[in-house]
Amino acid sequence: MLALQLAAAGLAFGSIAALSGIGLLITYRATGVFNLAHGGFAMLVAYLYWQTAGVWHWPVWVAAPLCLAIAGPLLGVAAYVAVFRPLQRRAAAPAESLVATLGVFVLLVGVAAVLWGLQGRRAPSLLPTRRLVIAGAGVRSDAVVDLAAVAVTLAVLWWVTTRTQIGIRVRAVVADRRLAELSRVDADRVAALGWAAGAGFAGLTGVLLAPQLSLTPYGLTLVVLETFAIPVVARLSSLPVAVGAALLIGIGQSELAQVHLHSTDWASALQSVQSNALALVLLAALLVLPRLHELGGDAGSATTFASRRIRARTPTWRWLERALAAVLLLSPLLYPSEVLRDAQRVPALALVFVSIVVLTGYGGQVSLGHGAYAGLGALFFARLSGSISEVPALLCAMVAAGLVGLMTGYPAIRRRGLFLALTTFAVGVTVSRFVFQEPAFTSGLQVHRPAVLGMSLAGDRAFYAFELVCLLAGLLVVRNLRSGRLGRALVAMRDSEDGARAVGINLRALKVFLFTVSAALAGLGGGLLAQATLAFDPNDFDPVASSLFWFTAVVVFGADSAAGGVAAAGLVVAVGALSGTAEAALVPVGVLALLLGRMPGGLAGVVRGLGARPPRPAVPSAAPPALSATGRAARNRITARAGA
Amino acid sequence: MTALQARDVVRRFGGLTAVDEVDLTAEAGQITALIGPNGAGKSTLFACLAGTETVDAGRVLLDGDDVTRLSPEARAQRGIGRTFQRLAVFATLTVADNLLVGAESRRTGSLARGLLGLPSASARHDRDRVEEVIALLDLEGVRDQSAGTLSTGGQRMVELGRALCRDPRVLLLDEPASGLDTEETDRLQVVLRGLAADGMAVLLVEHDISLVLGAADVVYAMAAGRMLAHGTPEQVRSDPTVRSAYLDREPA
Repeated sequence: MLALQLAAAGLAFGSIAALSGIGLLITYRATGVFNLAHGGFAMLVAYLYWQTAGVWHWPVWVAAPLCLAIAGPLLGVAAYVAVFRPLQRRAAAPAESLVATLGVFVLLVGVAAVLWGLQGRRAPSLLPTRRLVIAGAGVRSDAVVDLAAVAVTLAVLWWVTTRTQIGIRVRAVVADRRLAELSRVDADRVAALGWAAGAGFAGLTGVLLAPQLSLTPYGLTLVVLETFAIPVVARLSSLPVAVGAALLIGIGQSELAQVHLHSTDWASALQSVQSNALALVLLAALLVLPRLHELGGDAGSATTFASRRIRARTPTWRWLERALAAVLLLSPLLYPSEVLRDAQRVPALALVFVSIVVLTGYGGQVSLGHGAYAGLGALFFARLSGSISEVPALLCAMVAAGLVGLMTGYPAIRRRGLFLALTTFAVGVTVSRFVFQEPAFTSGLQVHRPAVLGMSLAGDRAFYAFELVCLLAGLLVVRNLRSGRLGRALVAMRDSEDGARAVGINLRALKVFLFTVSAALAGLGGGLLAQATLAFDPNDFDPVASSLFWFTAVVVFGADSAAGGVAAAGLVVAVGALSGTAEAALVPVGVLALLLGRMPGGLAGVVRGLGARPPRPAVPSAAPPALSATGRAARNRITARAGA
Repeated sequence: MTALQARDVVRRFGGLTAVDEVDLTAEAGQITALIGPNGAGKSTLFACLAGTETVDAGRVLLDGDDVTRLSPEARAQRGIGRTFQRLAVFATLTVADNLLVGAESRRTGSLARGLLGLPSASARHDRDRVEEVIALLDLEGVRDQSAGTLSTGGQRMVELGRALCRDPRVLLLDEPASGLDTEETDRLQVVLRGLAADGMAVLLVEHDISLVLGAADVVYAMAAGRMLAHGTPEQVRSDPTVRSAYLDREPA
């Protein structure tokens, strides 16, 4: 009987997850874009419903249709018209769409955080939550309605796709967009519909989920993002499989409550498994399922993130840049200490950003889980510095973070593009849920600043100088990854994996190595971040607030520019400090991410264009290039033939 | 001397047997051409030789050693160089750096050394090799341009140069003349003849019949997954099965 009741309870969550998965799949199948902003749509609509129904006390029959049937779909259409249609029109690389969804996501989260703050809100429940008794089992009425909603949705979708004109058009566009357009199918309308429906389901997910959690910009969003597990289990294709998987996950998660373990340690571990089942399923599915294929080609080629033109900058310009950077980085030493304390976040964050530059910009590997490496660096440092002195503890933390990077580098050997992005995201979420949110690991930590050669660096100025030294050391390593034989091999891997293999470059070793180095650098940054704030704060390494935002910021400032990474850190901290809310920086980064199509190579690309030497005159206007003997022979033959 | 050999190679995709018990031998010092109509299985066979496609049965031998189970990068390390039909240059690197990546990958380098910024021991040697190949392929005029900005013909030359910098014993070329103009094709032919004369085994898959008939020492003709005939260009051209499968239908 208990099993039945638990199953019924699980169905409620399972149904909500299924609705979210349906939304993701609809958008993906109709447009080829895997919408990473899905969680953002859900969160924003949930806030709108809370604002209208909860704060302004509008009646449900006004607020619910307004939010669910109008605001949600409208958000999707707006995103399509403003962002994704232009990308589609110029057949942008899948990697660009991926970053664009991140841009929308970051913008939405930023707007919500600025408008409504980070405190948790109690969202009103859309559905009545009376207890019903069905077949002898107590069931909450909202679970029944949720399940009914899923069933109706499936039936309607089945009917639409198989029996109606628009359904056939959608299937035609999914099968082959170009061909469908040639057959006079309005692919634009189909795509707009895909976005509207996807965002509509996202909104429904958010409104249904919000009463069960506390409504916050990050928390609710992350839970919705974890429902990525459902389309992935369905291999991004089958709706019925997705729904079945979602319901099974919901029931399974609920049934775990029946398992009783004697050891309290195991019991608490089991409890975290239960409350984070979705994240685990996402990670497991991505690691286990063989040969997942993307629609419309592979988002693997991250060359998109790099600026394509190689134009040498004038030496004056280069020195000007360095001098400016040095002045900006050294100036906080003269600031009053409140400002200096904000500035202490800059070198730490810069190291993390530069570690993403190395991985994504130089090596072409996407990582949406860098918050995990930075956080582990911080946590390892905090735990170790209790027993050994700080500088060795920091080095050990780097090594430990590097080892975690090494392990997560293995999945990257075979995964590219979207699936690599999702896998790294899943790793980041899992680490956050099972380590950073676990009091057993994070309670009772004392963080101290180091002493070097008997000199204490506890003072703010001394510590900032120490951070700058660490940053400089990190940048030297980064330079070595950019130049020389190793740098060329990395760029070769980024530009063409096939080409790199053909010359015998060992891509497996190179990728694992790159993940290791990048994670170690991020770990160093995380360790410094903990020392700057004198605490380990799990919220600093939240997957939404860190991993996803950081990656977007790095790409916006120029994924293949270390200077861009440092500048990004400076700007993110400065915007946060000047506006008084740390989350304010999400808004400009999100907006800039949407403009990336106009500035390939990010802001660094724009700056490089300014300082570049004027392009050399094209070859034809100069003297014709001297032909070799064979070339002359060939030309003579051709002219002879033409004359004959 | 036999450099690269396919013995009874079979490759199936679901119910389709793309390559069906095929034998092929590329001799050192010769240009061997593989021809056939679309869908004949020549690209699949080529991929099996290069290692980007696994075989279901049969063996691939390089200088008599079995390399059937080796990855493409391991085969490259053992002396197979290749180019691609769908271009795979390192688009953001300059032409010279593209070639340098090839030259440098002859020896495995230490990752730790690279991380510390220590110069590679063979740097001088590698750059010399790049200069030789630039001179050989007439790439002097474009050496500092990024490879992605070149024409198709230019990029094919960069791929060829990148492969040559590795000093391969076997050179696999996938449709090297497609996208090339007549002058470039002529020059390619001269270069390939020179490489073969130096003792390299050159194997090319090609649609351009004039290049095949003009340059190849041995021609293999495939259709529908089977090897129809092989021999000198004249022998293959006059082979009745080849004529009916290929040459008559596609006037060259």
